Amino acid sequence: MRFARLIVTAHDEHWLEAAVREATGFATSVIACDVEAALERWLSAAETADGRPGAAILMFGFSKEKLATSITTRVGQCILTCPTTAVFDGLPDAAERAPLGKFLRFFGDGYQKSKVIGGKRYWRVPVMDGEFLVEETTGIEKGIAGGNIILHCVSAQVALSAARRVVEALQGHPGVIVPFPGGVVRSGSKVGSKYAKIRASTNDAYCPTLAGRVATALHPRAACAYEIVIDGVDQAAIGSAMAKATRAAAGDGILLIEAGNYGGKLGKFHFPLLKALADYPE
Amino acid sequence: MTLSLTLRSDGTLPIDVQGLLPERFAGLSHDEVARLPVRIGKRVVDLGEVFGISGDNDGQSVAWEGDLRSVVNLGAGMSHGAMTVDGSVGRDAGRGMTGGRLEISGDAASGAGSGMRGGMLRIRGDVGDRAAAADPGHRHGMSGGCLLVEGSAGIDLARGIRRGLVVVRGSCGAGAMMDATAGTVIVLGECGPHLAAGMRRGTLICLGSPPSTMMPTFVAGRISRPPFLSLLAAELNRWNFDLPPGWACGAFRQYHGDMLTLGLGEVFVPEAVESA
Repeated sequence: MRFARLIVTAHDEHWLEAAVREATGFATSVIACDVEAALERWLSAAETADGRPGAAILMFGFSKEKLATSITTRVGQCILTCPTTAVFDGLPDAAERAPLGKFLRFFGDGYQKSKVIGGKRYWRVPVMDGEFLVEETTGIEKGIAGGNIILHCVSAQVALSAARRVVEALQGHPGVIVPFPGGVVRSGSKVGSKYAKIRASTNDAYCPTLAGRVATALHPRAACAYEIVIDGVDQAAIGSAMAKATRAAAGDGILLIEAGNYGGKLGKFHFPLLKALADYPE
Repeated sequence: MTLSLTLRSDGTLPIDVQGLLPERFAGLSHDEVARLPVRIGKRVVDLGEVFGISGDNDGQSVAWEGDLRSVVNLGAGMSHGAMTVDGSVGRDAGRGMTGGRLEISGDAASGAGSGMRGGMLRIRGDVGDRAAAADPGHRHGMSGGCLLVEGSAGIDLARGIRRGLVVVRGSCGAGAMMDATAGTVIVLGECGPHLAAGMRRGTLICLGSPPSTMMPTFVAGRISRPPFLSLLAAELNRWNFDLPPGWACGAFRQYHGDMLTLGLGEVFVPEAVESA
């Protein structure tokens, strides 16, 4: 997987949230979405290039080409359109580059202007509230998608509480995102299906209503399971996030916490949970 | 670890030190440095005849000392390393620089930074005419790098500039950014007449000039707060070049021009904003 980090800034938190929400929408899983994207962390005004409130968002895609297309489309439709926003590259040292303002500038219809500041080229695209400022290119690096933990719980209420604890614990954890709704997956999937054209289907082994009909992977007392999918910039980011997530999830009614490896079908990176806990102590 | 060159001559003929750059000094002993050629008027003499040589030569940093007002082409064509000038210097300092850093604690005569393509030229005093401008016979002036002037500038500042950044804390003479192709110039004081005449593209920010200074061939736009100014402010802050607090967040009247040419240039002049 390849990923990009975009720094979005806006006049205030209201418009910033609006831009981030739109830009990371419909971006849960590359099974059917063009990218997996979410907020990495909020940035203070002191941390951004233009001294305004900002946000770092991570976008993961299968290839550089597909990711580049998605970035341009999403920034063009979801951030350029949002009042007061600007977009900067969050991976300035990356050797691989994808166009950002380089393509979006054409929205300026010939009235766009560029500025080279500190060795970087920015594009100023005229819009109805002034100018949309965007960096010419953004860095692309190799990342890892699909790190996960699965929570086996005695009830849905316990599972929901545990899942929210996990997501809150991971907020602001550097280098990772949890791209699913609220950070939580209820429809864990397996590769393939009985239907030829379906690439992924429900992971029946984790469905409590199918226990007894199929070989279940659920804890014998589990009535509900949730999966937390973690995409990260490298193994250390995902490993440390999984360890933090596991500790946050543990509690009354949590019967089992496991890391699904799906028989190794989802990629070359494996994160044994006990090793992650040992490698990243509290 | 700085090679020091102290001028001993007090003559009036120009002393041309073109090519005497950190990379030229690299690996040379003091004796070898002393035998490098220097042109005085029409004569070529050894550097050791006019400059005292001291300090360690690391091929990276050079300090020029003495009354250097007759020294020309100092730092011309510099590509890396750092050079400092203690005092004022003659014409064409830093001309055609492509990299490195040249700091002048006093004034610089005409042609400083003309045809620059990269690097940083910082002048603590005033700078003469044609700073960062096109060399005689050339169409384009500065095409990269950064010129920071703590004092004022003469006429034809950044004339024909194509790329790069010029900032003048004081005022500047007539013809600033005339015939510019692109680039950015900030003048904190007043600009002389004919500013940005013939500008095709580029940005001139005049913090101390009234709108009456504008050429009639420029079209007044609306008042705005250009977001890229905060990036410029951050960049100048990185160079420890202080600007009035909050200037980057201020409101500016944007003028488009020069309509006699391409008309894609812009001049920003501060303007008070009507309260809602």
